[in-house]
Amino acid sequence: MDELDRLLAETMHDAASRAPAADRLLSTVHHRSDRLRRRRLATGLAAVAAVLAVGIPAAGALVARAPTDNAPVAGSIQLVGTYPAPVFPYTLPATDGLSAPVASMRDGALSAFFEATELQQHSDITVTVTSSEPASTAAATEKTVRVRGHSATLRTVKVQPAKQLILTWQESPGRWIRLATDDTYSQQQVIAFAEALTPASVEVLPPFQLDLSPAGFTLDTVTASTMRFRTSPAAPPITVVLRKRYQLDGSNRNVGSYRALLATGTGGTKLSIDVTDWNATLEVSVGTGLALSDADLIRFAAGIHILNRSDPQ
Amino acid sequence: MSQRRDTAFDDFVQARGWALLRFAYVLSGDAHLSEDLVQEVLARMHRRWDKVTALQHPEAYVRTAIVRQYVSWRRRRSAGETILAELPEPPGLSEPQQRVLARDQMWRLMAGLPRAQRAVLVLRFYCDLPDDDIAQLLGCGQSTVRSQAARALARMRTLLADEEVHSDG
Repeated sequence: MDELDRLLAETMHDAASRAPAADRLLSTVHHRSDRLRRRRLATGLAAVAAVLAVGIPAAGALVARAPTDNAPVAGSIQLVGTYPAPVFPYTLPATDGLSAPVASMRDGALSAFFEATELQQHSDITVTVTSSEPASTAAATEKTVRVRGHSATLRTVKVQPAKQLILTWQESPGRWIRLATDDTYSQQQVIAFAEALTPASVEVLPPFQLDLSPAGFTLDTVTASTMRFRTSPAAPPITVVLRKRYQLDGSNRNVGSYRALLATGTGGTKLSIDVTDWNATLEVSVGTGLALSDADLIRFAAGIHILNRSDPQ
Repeated sequence: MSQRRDTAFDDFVQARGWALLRFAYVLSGDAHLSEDLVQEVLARMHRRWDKVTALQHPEAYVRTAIVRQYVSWRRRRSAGETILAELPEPPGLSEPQQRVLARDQMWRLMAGLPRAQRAVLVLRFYCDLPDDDIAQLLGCGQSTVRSQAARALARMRTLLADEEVHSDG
């Protein structure tokens, strides 16, 4: 160990004594854990109605009413009032120990999360539906089994704290299903869950309520912080992301009563809005090549209502 | 949530919470970020605590999660993550005073390192872990650990030399 090494070790141990106190750590962790749990359990159409009811009031939205003095540019993307809401097409039978599904969507892949509410006999289950065979990169042992009349692959991935069991099969042309859980369940139980899947329409609950949406676009990602629209998988997107608040590099626009920064770069145009009362920054990005005028971008952003179930990145 | 798991979890946080915060603070150099890291990791493990305690070294598993969370989190704006203005060294200080100033200087220079390099240095010099353990913890090869550490130390030496030149000038 040379002088620099010694000085580094000394510096780190000295700095450690200046770490924040742990007085409130336990209560804060419990609060945060409860919040994670509540977010996972938010579900179903009843929740949609409830969240809309408890979502921020009109005065708390980015503006109370979208401005109407910015007419759309001819030939550009039109903003309309509705968009097709994605739904997850399967569910598991109601079981003691597993919650009702919470659906989400990433890059076009729909997922339903069934949270374990009893952890001795049960574990979380995630079912994902994709249009092509899902990629698997982690090292695993594989076994071929029969599921719902199809050949399926059951992969066991050795990770801590529990081995992951992942069952994948092609349900029909253009539809692959992946069921993932851990070794709380036996392989036979995992196959039984797959056999028990039945058709359903589990709504993917968005983090925002939108007054306007881009015509001809569909959602390909809906998470607790993000809604992303595209016309096709490879097309440039229109993305709305809620992030933990950060300092804007100045401001050149107002969206409702909020300061905002509109900037254009190689990746497209981005409107960053300092949503102070949510302690968050809302980013609305328009990919390169998409014809959405700045005025329409601001009009679109002004119609975004952040809901209580959102969770900033 | 079983009462037994809750009690075991609470006991762990009460007993080891500050040690984890100290570790996260040295790792991140930022008081708020260190609290955020530890809270996030513990909150996500809370429900799985039975499985975590079944591991041979539960605390090592928690620390691994903290490091990985730190390395992967989006960089935030923080005064602790930039190299601050140089502090000229006052003349005529005693050796202990010079040592304190040197540590302050090192702490500021550490803030200028990329996260992965800083994590390697903290695991090596604060946790006293050998390179093979660091490699396993970070999910990379030992050669990567050695190269990251070498780059970090070389950068520290360069920055130290620069500061000495400026303060001499």
